[in-house]
Amino acid sequence: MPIILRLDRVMADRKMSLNELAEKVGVANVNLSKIKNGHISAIRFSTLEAICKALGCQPGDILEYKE
Amino acid sequence: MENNKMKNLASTLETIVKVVGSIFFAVSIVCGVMAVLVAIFGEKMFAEGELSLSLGFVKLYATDALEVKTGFMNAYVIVGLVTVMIICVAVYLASKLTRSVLEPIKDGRPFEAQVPKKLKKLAWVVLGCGALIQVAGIVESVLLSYAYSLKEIVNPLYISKVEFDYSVDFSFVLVFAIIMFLSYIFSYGQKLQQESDETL
Repeated sequence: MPIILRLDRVMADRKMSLNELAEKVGVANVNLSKIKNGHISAIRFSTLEAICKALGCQPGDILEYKE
Repeated sequence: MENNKMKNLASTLETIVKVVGSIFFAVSIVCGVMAVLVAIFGEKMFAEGELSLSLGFVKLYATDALEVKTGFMNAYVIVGLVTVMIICVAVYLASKLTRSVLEPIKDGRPFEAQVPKKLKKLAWVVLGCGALIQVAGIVESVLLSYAYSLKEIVNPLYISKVEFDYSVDFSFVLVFAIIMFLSYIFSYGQKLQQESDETL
């Protein structure tokens, strides 16, 4: 899929661990790991909103389109 | 999403199907043994025993004077028993397939990958079984018509002509189509379920 999730990069910038973010977003760290590694085919707006809120970023900082 | 009604119904059905499948498997073994016995002792049995002929709701009992071709009679009974045996085995297989369809439904996940696959197999079993029943019915009728001299049984004063009417019932094709259609619906459901599972 040409849409790539750059969650790991933003997490590294904010120096936030996976467990910490999972707790703030309210999803299981297993599921957050799936998002981080791109093992998902879709993401809900509510999940994206929670991630952006926790990381203090824009959706565009996490999502990237690559041809 | 909890659906206890579906889970309970699937669980009950699975138990019923398990029992029915076991009964049919036992019947298939009995029929197989009986077919072998008829093949060995059949001709002697039909030559000595009392013979009867069912015509719908009327049962005619033959006297010793009626000539019955025991070879055809023997073949008729063997074909009947072998057909019942094959159908019982098919029902047993169908029960196993139905159980594997019901298993994920029982766990509350009806759109698992195995469900459409097993439904497709079940549809083919229904088609094969239905076709076999029809063919066996025709073969049995032909053998029975050869076994009895029906023209001699009926009174020529009242009956002018004896004709055989073989009819074929194609309703099994409709059942096959419905199960196939269901398998496509479940296959689509499985894709939607996968998409839903991969959405976070």
